[in-house]
Amino acid sequence: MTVSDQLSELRADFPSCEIAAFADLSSGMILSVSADKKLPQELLDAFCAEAVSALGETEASDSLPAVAVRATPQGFLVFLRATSYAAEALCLRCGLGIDLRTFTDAARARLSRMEQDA
Amino acid sequence: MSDESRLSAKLSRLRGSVRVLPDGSRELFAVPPDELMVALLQEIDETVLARRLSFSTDLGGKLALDVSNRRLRVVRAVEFRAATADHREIVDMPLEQPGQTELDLLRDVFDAFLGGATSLRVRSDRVAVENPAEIVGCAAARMAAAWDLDLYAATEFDEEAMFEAFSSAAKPLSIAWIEARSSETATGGEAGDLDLLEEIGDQVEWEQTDEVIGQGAIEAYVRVLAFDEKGTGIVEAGLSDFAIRLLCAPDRGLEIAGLFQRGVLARL
Repeated sequence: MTVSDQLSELRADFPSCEIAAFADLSSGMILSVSADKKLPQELLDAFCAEAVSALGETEASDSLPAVAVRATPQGFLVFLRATSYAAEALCLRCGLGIDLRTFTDAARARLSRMEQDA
Repeated sequence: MSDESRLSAKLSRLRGSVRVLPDGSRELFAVPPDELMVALLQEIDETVLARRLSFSTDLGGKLALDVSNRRLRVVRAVEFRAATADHREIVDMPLEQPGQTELDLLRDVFDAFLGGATSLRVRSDRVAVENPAEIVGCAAARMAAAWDLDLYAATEFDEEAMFEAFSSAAKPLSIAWIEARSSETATGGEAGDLDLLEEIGDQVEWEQTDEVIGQGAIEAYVRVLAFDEKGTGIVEAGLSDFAIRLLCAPDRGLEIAGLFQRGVLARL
């Protein structure tokens, strides 16, 4: 299953997940994205910059966060760092009503599958 | 209360503090205990046709009430850890013309049921009652008046009270914490843990809460940084001039964020 398929399946499981993206933090690029509509590049760049700010930039280090969550009244941003290559991350935006723990656990499992398939 | 303000209060609740679950039940969020009590009474007040309202809390307690014409007619189930023999005596007792004794007992039962809970689920099912049109039972408005609660108070954002309710619930889940309220700071936890919190915190700047979002909306945020499965993480939450950082196990981080989600963000 492709990364794109995995992202789409995650969003299908959690309809309030508006954007699911796979990013390379070292280059600051979104590599694959799933969303209801085509997103402008500026938004994707800003999304990736937010992930870099939350997780830290690049190489594997125990001192870098593995999970970062940021929430405001507008919704949640959830960032999960890949375990096999620390510069890659899953970046998610979802509504405020989501069950944060269930969603984060499912996203972590999905990221593990992506890493196994890679 | 006017229909307009009642509708306004209802819309305010629907905006963020109520979640409809797949089975059709609804989950009501609040941290201050009086708000859950008000939510419970509002459910009674909004039930005109004969229904069994089955409530459950995030602590696992259950309470079933037969309601019609905005009145509690019979308590059908009292199942929670703090339930006493006195509380169970009210089960199946007709409340046709309740007096002060029954009101006091009901308050005790509801208080014990809601004690420590931060969310309440309610499921409404049809139930057969004798003479459903008969105006008997204990009106929600009467209970609210007897217990000095305002059933449909206008929603006001008491930032300090909201923050206090959250931080009081979050601190026991943490290992150490640093709290800033306007210009005052306070800390809690062992010295070594506080040092670790500061050490991790030195690598991450505090969020700024002076950014205006929308038309003068209150800015509030929570963020979680979890470092690995076994290590520690930090949670930082802010609301207006109040902010707190908590050192915690990663699992606790999401739990604390959930408290902020339900207690603050969902209510703004």
